[in-house]
Amino acid sequence: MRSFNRFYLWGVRMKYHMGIYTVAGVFFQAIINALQGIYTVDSLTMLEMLAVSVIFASAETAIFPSGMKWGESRWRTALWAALANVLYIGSALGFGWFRGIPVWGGIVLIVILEAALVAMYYALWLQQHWDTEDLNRSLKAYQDKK
Amino acid sequence: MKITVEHSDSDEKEVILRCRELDDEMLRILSLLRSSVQKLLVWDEERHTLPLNVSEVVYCETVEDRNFVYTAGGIFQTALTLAELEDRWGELGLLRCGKSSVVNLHAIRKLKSCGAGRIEAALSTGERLMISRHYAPALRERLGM
Repeated sequence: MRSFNRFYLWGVRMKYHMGIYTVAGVFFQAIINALQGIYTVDSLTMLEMLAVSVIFASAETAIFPSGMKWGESRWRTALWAALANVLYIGSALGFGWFRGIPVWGGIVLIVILEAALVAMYYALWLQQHWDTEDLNRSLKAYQDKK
Repeated sequence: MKITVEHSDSDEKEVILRCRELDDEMLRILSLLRSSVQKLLVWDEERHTLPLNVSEVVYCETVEDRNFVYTAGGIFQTALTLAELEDRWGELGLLRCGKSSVVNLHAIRKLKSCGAGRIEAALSTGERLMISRHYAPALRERLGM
C-alpha cells in the first residue's frame, strides 16, 4: 500500500508538468496547422505529444528528485535542458510534427522552446531571489527587536 | 502593559514585575529575564571554565557526542545538549537549524534561499551554515514569516 501511495503521489506531481508540456505542443501544432488552413489536430499527433511529455516529465522527476528545484544544481539543469531539446526536437523530426513549415518556422519553434526553458529557469531563480529578500527583511526586523 | 523605568543610585540593577497573576505574557517576560541573566558555562582547550553571555554565541555544534560553542573569539565546549541550549535561550535567539547545530539568530549576517526548502545562513564570523529543509520552517516561523 505504501509503495502504491508513493507511486500515486509521484504520478500526481508528474502529471501537472506532463499536462503543461502536452498542451504547449498541441497549441503550437494547432497554430502551425491553422496557418496552413487546417483547423484540426491529428489524434495520433496528440497521443505522440502526450507520450513524449510523459517520458520527459518522468525523467524530470528523476533529474530533480522530490523537493529539489531547477537551478539548484547546474549539471542537473543542463541535463534537463539537453533532454528537453533531444526529446522534443527529435520527436518533432521523427514523428513529423509541424509538417509543412519552412526552415525558418522550425528555427522559430526551436527558439520558442529554448525561451520557454530559460523562462522556467528564470521564474524559479526569481522565486528564490524574492524569498531571500523576504528572509533578510524578516531577519532584520527580528534582530532590531532586541 | 505599563512599562516604567526608574533610575536609582544603587549599584545592583533590579527588575520588578508587578501583576495580578502570572499570565502567559508575564511568564514569557520572566523566562526572557531569567535566560538573559543566566550565563552559559563553557570550557576551553585547557579546560578553563568560563561563563559566557549567550549573545556572544555564534553557533553550537555536536561533533562525536561533544557539544562545541563557537564565538567570534574562540571555540569552547559545553555540557548542555543542543536541545537544552535551544530550550533555555530560545527566547534570546538560539534556534535549532540542523540535526547537529544550533544558531544564534542575532549572529546571522544574511540568509539565502537555496531551493528545496533549504536556507543558507552567512554568519558574522564569515562561516556559512546550511539550515535543512526540516528545520527551515521553524526559522521562518521564528522570524514571523
